[in-house]
Amino acid sequence: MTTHPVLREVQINDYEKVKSLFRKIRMPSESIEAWQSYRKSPALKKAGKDFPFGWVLEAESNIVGYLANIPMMYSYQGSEVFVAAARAYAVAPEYKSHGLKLALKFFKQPEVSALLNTTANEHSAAVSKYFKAKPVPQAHYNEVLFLVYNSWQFLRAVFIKCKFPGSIASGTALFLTPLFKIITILKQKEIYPNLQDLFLKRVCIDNLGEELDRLWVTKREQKVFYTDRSVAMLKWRINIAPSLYHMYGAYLKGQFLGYILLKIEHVEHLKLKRCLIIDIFGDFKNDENLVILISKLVGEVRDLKVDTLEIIGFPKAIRKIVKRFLPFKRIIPNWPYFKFRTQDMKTVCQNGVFWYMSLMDGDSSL
Amino acid sequence: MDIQEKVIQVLVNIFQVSPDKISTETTSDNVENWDSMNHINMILALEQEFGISYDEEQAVSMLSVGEIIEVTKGKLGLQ
Repeated sequence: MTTHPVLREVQINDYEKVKSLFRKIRMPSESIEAWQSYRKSPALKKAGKDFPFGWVLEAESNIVGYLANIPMMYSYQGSEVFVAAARAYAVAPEYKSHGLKLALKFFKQPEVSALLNTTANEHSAAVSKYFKAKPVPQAHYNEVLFLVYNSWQFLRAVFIKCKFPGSIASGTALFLTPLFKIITILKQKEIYPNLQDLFLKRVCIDNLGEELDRLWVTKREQKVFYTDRSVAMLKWRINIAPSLYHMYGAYLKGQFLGYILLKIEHVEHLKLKRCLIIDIFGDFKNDENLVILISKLVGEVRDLKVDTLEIIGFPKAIRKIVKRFLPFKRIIPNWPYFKFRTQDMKTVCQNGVFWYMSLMDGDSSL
Repeated sequence: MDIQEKVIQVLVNIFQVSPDKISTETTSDNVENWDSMNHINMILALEQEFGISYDEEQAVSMLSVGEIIEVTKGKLGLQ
């Protein structure tokens, strides 16, 4: 017989006990530095000092349940929208019937305009639906488009995922690598036009100050629900794990058009090093410019020694351009869910063009 | 069938247990399959069975058969 757990707001000094909970249920836990970063988010200027960074279930001096609550700022037609994003839900098996108490706290918090659950698997999608959240109406969000750089590593990851023993996965991958390499070369044989004055340059967020803020000031006026891309917000995000991010500025005749943000992810259990396109943001003038920039990006990523380059989300127009590079596809079991509080936003968000969802949104890439 | 019997029948179906394992004393701790997903399924099934709608706060707190019967009776105006 278990004790009824007590529900309360999480405190920073709960970190070690929350980490123990994640260890117990064999899930990766966040670093203390990440916890500290969330508490320094620029979005807190809207949230106020009483914003809860999550909730815990406590029983017999142990943490038996946890749900993080991350403050986020969004923009729509120039107006700021304060959003809370759910993150890192975990409940000990013996308290599994109490998990909804954490979700209730998240969905009932009074100070936010919208709630986002960007990593909803089947279980958390059911919970989100119960609390009247809706799936984001952006087509093909769960279809990952990816290019392969290291055929052997990629094939081995596929076989590991198919539960092949390690040595058999490695051997089978080695055997099939030449054939797979031919397929990838054939898929990527198209030569994309080059434009001398259009280039992509590795940049540091600290060097992008004014030109990036000018771009954001223009874009935030659009009828699109953008997560905050101000310099302050981007710096905050990147500085959570600076060594994992790579930012490229796009320039035409020396003029800043926008940027592409990448994040490296080590998938330990598959022994795979992925490069994720977190964001493509700017005014690139026309589709052909973006095709050229992405072809340059594909070349730049080769230097990062990653196994794959992957893109998740983004509106149809951007996905259409990426598809010109004949990527492979796979389906993931996640779909983002949202819940708006105000009636006007509830109405406009039903339209697919309202959204620009990518791994920049919610907690997807934190 | 009275309310108690109907509630127990819903729980038997949702949690896939035999009826003799469920009584008014049963709590979520005693039922193997009582996790948050099945809890939602149970709430939705009870709402359909009785033609009522629980408040979300009530719904997440109904973690024993006794509580479920009490809240359901209240919703049906039988208390």
